[in-house]
Amino acid sequence: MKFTLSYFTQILTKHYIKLYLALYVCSITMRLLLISLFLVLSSIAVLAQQYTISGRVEDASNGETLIGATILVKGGGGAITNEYGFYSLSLEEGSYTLTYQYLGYEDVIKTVNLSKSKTINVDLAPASTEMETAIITAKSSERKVENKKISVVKMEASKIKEIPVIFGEVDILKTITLLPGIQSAGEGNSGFNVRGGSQDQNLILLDEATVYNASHLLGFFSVFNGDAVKDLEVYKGGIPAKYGGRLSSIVDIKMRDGNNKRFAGIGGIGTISSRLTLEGPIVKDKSSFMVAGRRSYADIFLPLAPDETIQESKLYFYDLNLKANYELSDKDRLYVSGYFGRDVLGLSELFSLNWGNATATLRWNHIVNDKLFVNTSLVYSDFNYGFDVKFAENANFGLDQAINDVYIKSDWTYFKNQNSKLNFGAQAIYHRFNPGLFAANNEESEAVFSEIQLEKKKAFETGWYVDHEYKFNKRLNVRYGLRLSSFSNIGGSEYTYSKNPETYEPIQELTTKDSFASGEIYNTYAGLEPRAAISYNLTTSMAVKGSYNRTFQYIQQATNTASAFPTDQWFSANLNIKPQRADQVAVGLFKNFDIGLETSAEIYYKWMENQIDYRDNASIAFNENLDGELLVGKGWAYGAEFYVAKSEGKTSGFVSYTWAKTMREIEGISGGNPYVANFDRRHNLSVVLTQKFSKRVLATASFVYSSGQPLTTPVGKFFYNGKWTPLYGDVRNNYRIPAYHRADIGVTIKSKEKPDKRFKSNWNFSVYNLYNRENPYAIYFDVVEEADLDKNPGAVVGETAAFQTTLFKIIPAITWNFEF
Amino acid sequence: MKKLNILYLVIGLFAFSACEKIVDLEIPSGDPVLVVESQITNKKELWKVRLSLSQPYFDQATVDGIASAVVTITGTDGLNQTLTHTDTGMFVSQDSMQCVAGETYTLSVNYNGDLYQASEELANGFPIDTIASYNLPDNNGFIEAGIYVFIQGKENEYKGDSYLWKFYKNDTLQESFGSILENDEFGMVSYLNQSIDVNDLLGGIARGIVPRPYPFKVEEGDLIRVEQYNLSPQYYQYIIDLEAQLNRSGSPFDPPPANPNDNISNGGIGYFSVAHFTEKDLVVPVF
Repeated sequence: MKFTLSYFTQILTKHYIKLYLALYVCSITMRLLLISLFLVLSSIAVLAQQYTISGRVEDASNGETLIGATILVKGGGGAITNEYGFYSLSLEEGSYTLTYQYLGYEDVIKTVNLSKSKTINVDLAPASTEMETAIITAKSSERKVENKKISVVKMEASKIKEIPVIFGEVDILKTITLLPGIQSAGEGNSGFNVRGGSQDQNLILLDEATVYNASHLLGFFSVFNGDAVKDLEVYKGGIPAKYGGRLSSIVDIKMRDGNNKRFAGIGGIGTISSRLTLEGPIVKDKSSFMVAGRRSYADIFLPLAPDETIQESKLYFYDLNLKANYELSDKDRLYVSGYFGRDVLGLSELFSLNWGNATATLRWNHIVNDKLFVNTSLVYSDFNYGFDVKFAENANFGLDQAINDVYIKSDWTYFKNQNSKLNFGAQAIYHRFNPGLFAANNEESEAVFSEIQLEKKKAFETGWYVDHEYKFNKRLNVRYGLRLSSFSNIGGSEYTYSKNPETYEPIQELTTKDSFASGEIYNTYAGLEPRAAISYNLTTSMAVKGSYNRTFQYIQQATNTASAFPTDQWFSANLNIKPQRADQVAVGLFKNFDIGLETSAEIYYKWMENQIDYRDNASIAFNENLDGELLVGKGWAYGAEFYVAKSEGKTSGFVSYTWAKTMREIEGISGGNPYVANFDRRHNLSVVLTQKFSKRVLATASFVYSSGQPLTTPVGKFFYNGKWTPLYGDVRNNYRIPAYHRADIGVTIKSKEKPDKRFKSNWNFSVYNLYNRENPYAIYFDVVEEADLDKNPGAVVGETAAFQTTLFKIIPAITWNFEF
Repeated sequence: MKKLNILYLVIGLFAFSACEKIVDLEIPSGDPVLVVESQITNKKELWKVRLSLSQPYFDQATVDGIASAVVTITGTDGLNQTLTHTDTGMFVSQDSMQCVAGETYTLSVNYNGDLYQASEELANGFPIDTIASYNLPDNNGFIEAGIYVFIQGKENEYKGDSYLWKFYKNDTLQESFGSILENDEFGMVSYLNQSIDVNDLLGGIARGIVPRPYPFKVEEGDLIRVEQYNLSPQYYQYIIDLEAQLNRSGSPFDPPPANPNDNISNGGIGYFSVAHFTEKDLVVPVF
């Protein structure tokens, strides 16, 4: 069924009492919460006459709004800009000196005589290189310790760009895995695990749209073009009530708005791909656009390969980011952003696989008054993949799978006063899952002689939240909130489920079939998700912080490897599978030193319910009733994270170390005993150093180490049907493959800056895996065959052996970047 | 490249520095367990049971066959046979024996003071009514031109059965289509299963559809023999799972590593299968 508004209306107005009740309960709860909050607020608030200063803070060179810029009031107090660069500051009548600050930008100081509410928009100019060191504003250590949220990491695109990853490509998702608590799912993989959560427990948002698969080339690169990204924030814990739908983390990526001052461009030519971003004003100072494109071209060299199959192969990706914004009035701004990316992989004509994401976001920022800010978004997100196998001349069979969402959300912020901010809002998502369309066809006769459509599934998810940030005094800050989420399965297809949802039987037992009328809500889950974070400043440069959050996850992915493949299927909670639930507590100590060092230590513990894993011998490929192959149990994870960073000065960088343990306990797996999760890695260390040798030369060196991934190895072998067959023991993940470690270096040489010319360029030379470590990517057990002898001279055909795949040995790369 | 797998395709295509090599690993080893391999059918022949012990994965010694064990097969039809040790690990019945449909047979192995048992009932199988060959003069878009052999029989009365077919060409088991497993529950989503009406194979050919089981190319004058085994659903699943475990390669479609669900009691592994056997042969005529 096509999505229409009337469809929503239909759902809401028909006989779906459950949803109606849920909505009713929601609205009552919301109202009660709001009333009580306002009561609390007004009782705390000082009753003196207050006026408000509000406005936006932007980059003077290109008009990009600055997120998280601080506005300091001399004598105490201040505000921070939100994700649209908007701030609101309430003060009593009087005269004030305001300092507008943003890291890497020159401060702007404004003196204000406040006798009525005012709008002050401020443009901050980027600091020149010489200025930059001086800008370590005397009290930056104090400022940062206060602003840092517990379990949240934030990175600006400019920082990310200094850390090249493989093949010299900038990759934001790979870079964040260097930070504490975020573990890479492995080399050649864009996936990551946050505090013991599986990869599908990360919500990746690009301008508010869910990106279901963030991998290009099966994970060698992520789908995000560094030139198009403005800012990235990762919530590992202390997740604000505004976000929901995933258990473990939120990765909130914001695209740049585009230069509204002049036409400009950035681009680069790299070993793997080339990219170009163009941006400029639509109406000067009022609106702008940005178009960023990227295309890989490894396939151009394929015809040079000696192997004929490789010559005829296809292998490329491309992606496109689009964004435009328009200022309708002083109070209204519209943003349109979109992403479209595609990967194509084809081996000769025999096999082809393609996949990609498409997202679109329409946002309307509205300043209701100088204290109330609202953003309403309409979002579309789609991920699909398809493959095609040629099994005879002119004949193919293929499979297509897809998930797509349409949603609407509205987020409100009420800036009560300097010490109190209230966030509230709601969202509704309509999910559609297409688990697969199989088709076989004959190209010549155009005959499609067999088409199998696995049952499509639909669901409706909502989230309602209220969240209050309150500053009791200079020392104590709290943020607490509540989210109510619901999830409903919608009928319209025949559905197979186990009669007793408590027993998760293998597929043969899943035979109870039922049909649900189109639009009928046949199953609803709902949950309350309390969230809280508290921060106490021990001194001006030292703080202790804590957080608690409960999260629910209603759609998930089953996977049997630590890697993320586009073929891993997304499916929803239903009569068989209950939603996942997690509770996490974290405590951290933050201390900044005047020499420019920032340090933090955090510990966390996480309890997870309704975790899934495949049963033994599960049949995974193209299985209509995948639910039947899953077993459900609990999980828990705990760990400690340490971080030392120096972000300013000639020598900068960070050291991050994480000790983590992730366990699962699922009836029917590993004898029902606790076992380590597939992605458990005990020790994780990363060291990144950047040295500015001169204005033009910058070098980066990095080192990463992580414990080997768990693996289930055979505990023996037996001879059956003429073949050596592995014999497994009772314990899943009974072994750890060798540790992963690697060092990379990179040097960037900038062209001479000429004041009269806008064109700037730089060369980046990098070496990946400097000491040529053969890291294990996968290990499997098999019998030696004739073909293996070339690479393993000592091996004997017919003997059993362990095979290790290594993806990347030493790889040098050159990239040329430019901007104008 | 050992196995066809998307990942290796990518690595291969990139042709950077990916490599695959044998490594020495110290992996944990479990205690040796008893391995049983045996299949008896309704065809009159000597019954054989192979017994061995499992060994450490990297132990490259030959199969550790068992010589001293008491092996018997009993049936609900009153049959009671003791098998005697002949060759390394091989236990053979005194006389040629055959199973009867509807009866249950139990294998008992007394080894080292422990008793291992397994039972299965002999199902019936559909008779092969026809074995025939046909000449496809032109490439029909799905199958190349050539001579093909197929079998036909009415199967629907045994719904839920699982079959294994072995094709012999001039007494040689065909490698490529050596044995095809089909399960008419269509538990596995397969294009072949769905598109063919088992009860109307020839009708399918007229519509350009492949008969079932999958045909294989033969030459005029070849002697073709098709052996059909109706297996228990558990054994069918056992072979499927065993094959999947043998083909593990780190792909996203690999099942989690585990032992297939066997029917040997007391911690023994392997399988004692009781299968219904039918065969039919044909000399490919001159077209």
